[in-house]
Amino acid sequence: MHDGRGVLYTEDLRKTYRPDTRALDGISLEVEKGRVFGLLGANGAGKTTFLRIVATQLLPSSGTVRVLGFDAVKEPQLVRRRIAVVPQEGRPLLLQTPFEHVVTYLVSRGLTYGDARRQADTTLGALNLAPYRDTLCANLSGGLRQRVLIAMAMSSDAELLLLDEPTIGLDPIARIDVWNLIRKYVADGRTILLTTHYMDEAEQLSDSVAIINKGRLVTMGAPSEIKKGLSATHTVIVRTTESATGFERFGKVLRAGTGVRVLTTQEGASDLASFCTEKGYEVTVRQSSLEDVYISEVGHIEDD
Amino acid sequence: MKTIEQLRGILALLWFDGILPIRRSPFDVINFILSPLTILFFIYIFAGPSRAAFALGGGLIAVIVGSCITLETEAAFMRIVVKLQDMFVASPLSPVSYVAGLSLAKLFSGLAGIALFSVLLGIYAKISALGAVEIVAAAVMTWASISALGFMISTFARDVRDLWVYSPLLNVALAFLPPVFYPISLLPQNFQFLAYVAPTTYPAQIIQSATGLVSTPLGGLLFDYVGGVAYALILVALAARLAHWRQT
Repeated sequence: MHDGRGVLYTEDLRKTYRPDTRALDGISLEVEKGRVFGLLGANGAGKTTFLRIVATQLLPSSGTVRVLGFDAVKEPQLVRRRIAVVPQEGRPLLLQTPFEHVVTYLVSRGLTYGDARRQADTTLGALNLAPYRDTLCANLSGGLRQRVLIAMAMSSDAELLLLDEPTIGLDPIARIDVWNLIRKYVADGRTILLTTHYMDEAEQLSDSVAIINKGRLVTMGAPSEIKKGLSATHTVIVRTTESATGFERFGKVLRAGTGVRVLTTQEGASDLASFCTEKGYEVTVRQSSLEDVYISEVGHIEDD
Repeated sequence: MKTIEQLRGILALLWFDGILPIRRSPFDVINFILSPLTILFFIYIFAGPSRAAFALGGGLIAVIVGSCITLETEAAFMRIVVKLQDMFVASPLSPVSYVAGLSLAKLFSGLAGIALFSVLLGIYAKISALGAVEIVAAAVMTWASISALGFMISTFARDVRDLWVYSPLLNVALAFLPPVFYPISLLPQNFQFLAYVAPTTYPAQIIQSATGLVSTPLGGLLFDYVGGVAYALILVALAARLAHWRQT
């Protein structure tokens, strides 16, 4: 599966923080060019550690990490020219404008002031930030501030863009705006590695996803392929305050939040819905999603 | 990245983090002038005009210390709070250029004070052309060592609030306690060596000599230059080592 020619290639990547916290435990994966690759996991699963190693900000304890053909451990300078990062919960400086942020970032990456100004205007226009070009970031909404950081990174035309939870804390409209920016960016053959714990975001945006839990790779592939691997096609969510039992005969039972989630077939879903109606439980039936895979896989790992 | 591109990166950071904030909040510059001016006022009142000249050279050093030591909180703020440092790490800009850009930006916020005390020195002290060069050299030594010290301290912070207490403390320890506003000869002989623990003692002595306030033998002046340059080089080397982008 791994031929080492992808934009990003890792093999048996491990990271242990002192004294003995294992953040990554043998991650092997490959990201193809021109794709959005989603890295999913709960808080503390190891997503940011992985991204920081790829971004040459953190050294791995062992393993291989190649970015755009270069060894990220031995050739960080060659990697840094070709990547850009939007850090988790980063924010712009409040007394500067979006234009000033982008120009500074571009000049620091080697562009002349004139080229940086032109490129900044192009990027701000493409990202619908032109009306706020000269507005102090102090006067921008949270969503627009986040977009300023994304504009900085995207203006660099980096071959690989690393986005660490880019939509955390944003309202639904602002999230969709960011999703559109991400789609536009990869349309030109560039690649994005995205970490998120929003399942809908990963499913909507990613060509491929990897789910990691406690530093280990749980599953990887296109969202549709991963869902196929479930064998269940439908998910029945039962809301009941009682300690309900008897669902196991309909499919795989997952405890999630205040209710029970049963992964099952179409026929099983129909039978379970009838069973719940008889018992007077509130029930919702829908097609299985990436979130179901996530809960199924991560729950299974935790049970181990 | 070529040297010229690194230089452009340094200037971009100076503009972004130094010039733009001062343009938008110009009263910030007063921050670094008030304390040295207060010291100057009291020395003038209690010790008379002849001693006040010491406070002009001291004021110049104190403004540089006050503005450059804020690199401590600024670098930590960029790394921990807004996380813009992460964006610069994943770019061709070198760590040294990043630190140099931020330190020039901080120096810029002290520029009004530097100009004020330089003009006052020019008016009230007899400075030759060589003396002026010596004063500039002393100012550069102070900028380099204090910026490096500030950045080094920032690398150990887990929270910016860890550092709030250090800036005023260091300001007193580096600019007001050592013989910066007064001649070292006023300290008891047995304790004079302690003054040399502070990196600001060396440039202050150079300025006092350059302005004719003290008569320093050649050997003493050489000691001040070697000590000041060595101190600055060691602190810059340590800061450059700690400025390695990558954590282990």
